[in-house]
Amino acid sequence: MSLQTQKQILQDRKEKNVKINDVIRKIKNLSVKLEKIENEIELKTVIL
Amino acid sequence: MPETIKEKSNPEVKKEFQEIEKQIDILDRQFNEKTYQATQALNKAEEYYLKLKEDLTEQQKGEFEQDLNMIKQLINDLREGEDFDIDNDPRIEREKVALREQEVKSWLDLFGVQGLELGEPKMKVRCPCEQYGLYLNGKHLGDLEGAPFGKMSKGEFINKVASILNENNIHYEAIPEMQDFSIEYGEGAKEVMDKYEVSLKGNMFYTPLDRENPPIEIESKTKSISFYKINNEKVKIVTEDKDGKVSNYTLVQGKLIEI
Repeated sequence: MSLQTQKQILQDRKEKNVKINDVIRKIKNLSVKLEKIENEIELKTVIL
Repeated sequence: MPETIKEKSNPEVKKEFQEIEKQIDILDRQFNEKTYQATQALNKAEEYYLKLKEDLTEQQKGEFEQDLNMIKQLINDLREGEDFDIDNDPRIEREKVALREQEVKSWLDLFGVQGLELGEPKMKVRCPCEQYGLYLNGKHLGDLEGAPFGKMSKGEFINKVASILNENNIHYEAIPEMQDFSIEYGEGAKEVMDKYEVSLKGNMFYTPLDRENPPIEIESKTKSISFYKINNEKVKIVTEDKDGKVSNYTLVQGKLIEI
């Protein structure tokens, strides 16, 4: 394996880590949305 | 003597090899941990969704299921390595490079400027990012570079080229991929954004202080974006799509949070 290929692998591993961070962020956003909806449902129940 | 053996017989190169190997090993471990975290978090989100499902509207159910499936697919792709398949076969590597060059050239052709072409950047930046020099009939106009560790998206590329052409007063054809949404800044919003280096250039939204979020490409379905100052640290962002869907975000000290 050449040094250049080795560097390419390193860069791809970095990209993979950036992408998985993005996935984690997306899941967090989804959970926040669900939490917000749950609060709204609870609020409606209290009002009703 | 094959290039690789020649390289490895050099002690400095050998040392560099070992350093890179170490870094790859660390990144692999980090990636595995993060994938585990992501899978756990996704399972929790799915359980949460199932708990609330009967109280959700059909539209909400559809959106959540689509999001959950998309995230599952992303994790699978990353885990399988499909997204980052590294093939050491130099023929395939050359083919990949040629395909990318073809793709980028097709975006450049959209400008309809005769003699416009890409070449080596004049000022090569030491960063693992995509870099090109932009030339008109052999004359260097400027350099463009993507974000680290990634390829430029179509919108990002088009906006960078457009910006260089504007600087050089070169007329080009209007391209639909470029910004076609309205922007509104409420009183004081721009100042807070400037303070945290947040900017909207073309169809790219930059939040450099938010390390978790790379530049965001504004989707073509977006009709308008409005920024409202909440206080000296916070800005509310409201986007409206062409189909009327409204989304809200908050910028807190330059970090983007979806609400």
